[in-house]
Amino acid sequence: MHVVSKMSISASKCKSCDRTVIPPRTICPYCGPKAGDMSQITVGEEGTVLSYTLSQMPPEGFDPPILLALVQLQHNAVVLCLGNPEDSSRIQIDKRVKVLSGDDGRFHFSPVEI
Amino acid sequence: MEPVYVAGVGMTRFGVLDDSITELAEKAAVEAMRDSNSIEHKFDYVIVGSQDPEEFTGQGHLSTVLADRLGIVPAGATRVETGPSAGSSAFEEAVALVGAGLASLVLVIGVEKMSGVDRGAASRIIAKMVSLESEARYGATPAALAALVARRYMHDYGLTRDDLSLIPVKAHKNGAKNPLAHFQNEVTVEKVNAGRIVSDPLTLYDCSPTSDGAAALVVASEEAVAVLESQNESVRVLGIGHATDYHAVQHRLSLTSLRATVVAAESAFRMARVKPKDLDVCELHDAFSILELIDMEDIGLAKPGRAIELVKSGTSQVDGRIPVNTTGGLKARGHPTGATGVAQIRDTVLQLRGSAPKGLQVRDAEIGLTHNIGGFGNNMVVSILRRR
Repeated sequence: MHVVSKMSISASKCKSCDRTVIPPRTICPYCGPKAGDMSQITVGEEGTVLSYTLSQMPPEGFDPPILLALVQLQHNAVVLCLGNPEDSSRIQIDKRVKVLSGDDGRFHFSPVEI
Repeated sequence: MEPVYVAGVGMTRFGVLDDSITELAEKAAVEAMRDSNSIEHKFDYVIVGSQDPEEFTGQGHLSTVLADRLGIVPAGATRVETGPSAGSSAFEEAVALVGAGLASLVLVIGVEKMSGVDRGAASRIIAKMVSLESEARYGATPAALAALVARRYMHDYGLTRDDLSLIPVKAHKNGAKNPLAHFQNEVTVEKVNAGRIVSDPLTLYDCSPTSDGAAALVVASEEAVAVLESQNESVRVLGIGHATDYHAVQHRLSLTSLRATVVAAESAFRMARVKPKDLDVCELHDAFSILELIDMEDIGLAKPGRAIELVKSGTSQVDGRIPVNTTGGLKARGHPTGATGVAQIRDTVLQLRGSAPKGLQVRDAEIGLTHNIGGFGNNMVVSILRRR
């Protein structure tokens, strides 16, 4: 298991429509080049689960099962994240989670204990 | 646009087949040529829809190969790729060529040969259509993304597992009467519920299979239809719409509606000058059971969250007011990706001719719609056809 490091989450915010996307990009996917270059920002690590699934049949190269969640972060930016399959019973829609950028270059989430 | 017709149709059995990709394409194409009396006529183009013949079979340059194999050289030959909507996009190109007056007779072939690689490899090839950066690297497959959509839909609208299972049950009920379907057996709600979990809440029965198969169409101008003397069998292309959505699901504006379907359907309805209530039969892209419900809502058959009511009341059955996926849909007919869109049109043409398989014919069907999805929930083509 790789170590998850606490790097901030980079995102891009459109100066025209105010929408925020992750990972960062230059052209706003919603507005196109007419909105100018997107602003490069960072977003906080806490978010809310929009949906999740425990996939039993991932492609070659992944050990099943894998826990996936769509998490809504600050500025309504949404990211797909990997979780620990053992946490699957503790995850539900609207649950607060913490998202970290791993040293594998992917986002990982874990439940926030209240 | 000049009037455009589908003058002939052909299709192979869908399933795990011995035929090669070129053999499948040839069989469907020759049947469509015979069906339209065009076997002795000069084709201007062949347009081939196929998702990934290079990786599934090693066959490159498929359009040129098929022009040669079918003996229609020097017809122009083009392969179209929009993922699993490649077949419908190939049809769209043919409609545009004939509608613009650039061609009078165009052969459309949709084909995929997926069983030549093992299931893991097939899954890896198919998964290439999802976002590499935001989805594939995480191990997300189309099934996993469909599971995320299904869970959110169930949460928002109170859809139950038993409700969702009615979709594959209907698909298999219709597929059992379709002699070309991949699966020709009925299933029960209990069997669907107890199926192996693919990505919860979806079981194996919520997911369409990977299949081999081909379907073909002869697309013709008014003049060509007259020359072929196939007026009685021809079906008019009333409208066609094509739209994309943001590539990664995380960037879409809804999880429970597919915007590309809404936009493509609106374009097709506008062009056809008909409304959802005018439809007599529909072929919708049910690659995953949840999509049939979302598709019904997005093309305008039901309000958000309410499609299940049409399923429960029997309205979407063959003898209902708006039959959906009468020949089994992707779930039971099978899903050789590039062939699916062409098969949807072929099956709709048979419905409008009144020659659907026994037990599947919709009474007095005049207007039909097909809807084909090209990525996960992306790159949709909607076509509307009318009996002459």
